Amino acid sequence: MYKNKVVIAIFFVILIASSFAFRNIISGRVEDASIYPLIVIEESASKVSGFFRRLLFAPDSEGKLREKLGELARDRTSCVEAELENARLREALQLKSERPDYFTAAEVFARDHSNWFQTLWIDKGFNDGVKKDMIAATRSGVIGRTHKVLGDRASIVLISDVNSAVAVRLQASRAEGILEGRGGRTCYLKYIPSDVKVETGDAVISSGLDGLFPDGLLLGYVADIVSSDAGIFHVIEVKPAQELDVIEEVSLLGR
Amino acid sequence: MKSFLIYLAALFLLMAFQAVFISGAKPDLPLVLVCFYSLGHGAVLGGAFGALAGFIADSASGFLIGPNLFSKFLAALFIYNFRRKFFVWNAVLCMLFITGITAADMAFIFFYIRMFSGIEPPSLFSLTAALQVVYNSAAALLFYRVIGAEDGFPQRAPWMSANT
Repeated sequence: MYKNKVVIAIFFVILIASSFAFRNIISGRVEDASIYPLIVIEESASKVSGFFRRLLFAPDSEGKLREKLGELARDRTSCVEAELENARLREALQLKSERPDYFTAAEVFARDHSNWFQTLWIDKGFNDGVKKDMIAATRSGVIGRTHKVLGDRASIVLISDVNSAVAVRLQASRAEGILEGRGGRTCYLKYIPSDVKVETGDAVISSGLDGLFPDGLLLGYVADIVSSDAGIFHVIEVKPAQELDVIEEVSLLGR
Repeated sequence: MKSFLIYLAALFLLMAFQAVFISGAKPDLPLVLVCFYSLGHGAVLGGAFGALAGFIADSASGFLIGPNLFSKFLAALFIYNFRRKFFVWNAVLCMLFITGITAADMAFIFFYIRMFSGIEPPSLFSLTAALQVVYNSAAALLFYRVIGAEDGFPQRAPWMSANT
């Protein structure tokens, strides 16, 4: 038992030491290696869903009629999916015609598996020309920026993530502030002076002062004024213009 | 080794399930799996599996070494040592311990992120956090039935032979 405790203690010390040692050495191939589990996750997920799909739509021995019914159900689902995808891609094309800095479109294949971070993974990486800090948007508005860029995949930090902060302004009053994510469905707009008149539904657009987000991009709308009289600044709850839970394709804007 | 690989495969599947199929508040199923592995295989193997599971979870979130590595490792040690204190072990006790471990795990990750990132993470007392605890409690009951936790100690699933 004593030996076990010594082994555990040594292991724990090595863990702590390595966490500090490796904090600043993460780059290139190491990042690729770190994302490997996610690729395995994605592949295993599609295998699992494929297995269940085959199980559900397997040819029935009772008769061809039932098989035909299964085929029709599959076709109908495919048609509905194709129709929805067409609508989304049409929106993406509209964005392409509207924005001269439009770069490419990508498909979302996974989200963060935990409750702590709001990130998406897309199916394009630096082999497709994607770079760090490109703006990810849909026709409805900005959703975030690219963070980790690997060969064929990249992560997007959503504007609702705790690590996100965007320089913004209120479209009506032109007052400038910082839009911060809190890990939930909404964001918080800070540093708007309390003497500025703010109303629910006011549009929040990027100011371009952070050097990352070009100015004039819609990020969300004022949902609630959490505190206005407690200090010199308002604390404003902002609902993202794009519902962040239902994103399937994103457009990337160049810098 | 065989059971280790089975648990590792299950870990990937559970993470895939969480990442792809669950949106909104998510359970921490890898944590429940780590607890059951530790209960069945002891503190040393359990701790090693916990650290590996945490490493994989952190990698999928974009860290190389992050909070999950430590929290899952500690969770494996704690649950095994709690289990040793009890003569009787049943589904309810198992669920209660995993509920407590889940809450402690969340607190650990919360303070770790707060300490190292300097940015305030999502609240520890949010609805999402509460739902995660509830989901994990339900998962603990389900795993108890599926993996098979007998009164014997250490626990081992009936389908895992003694020579694994």
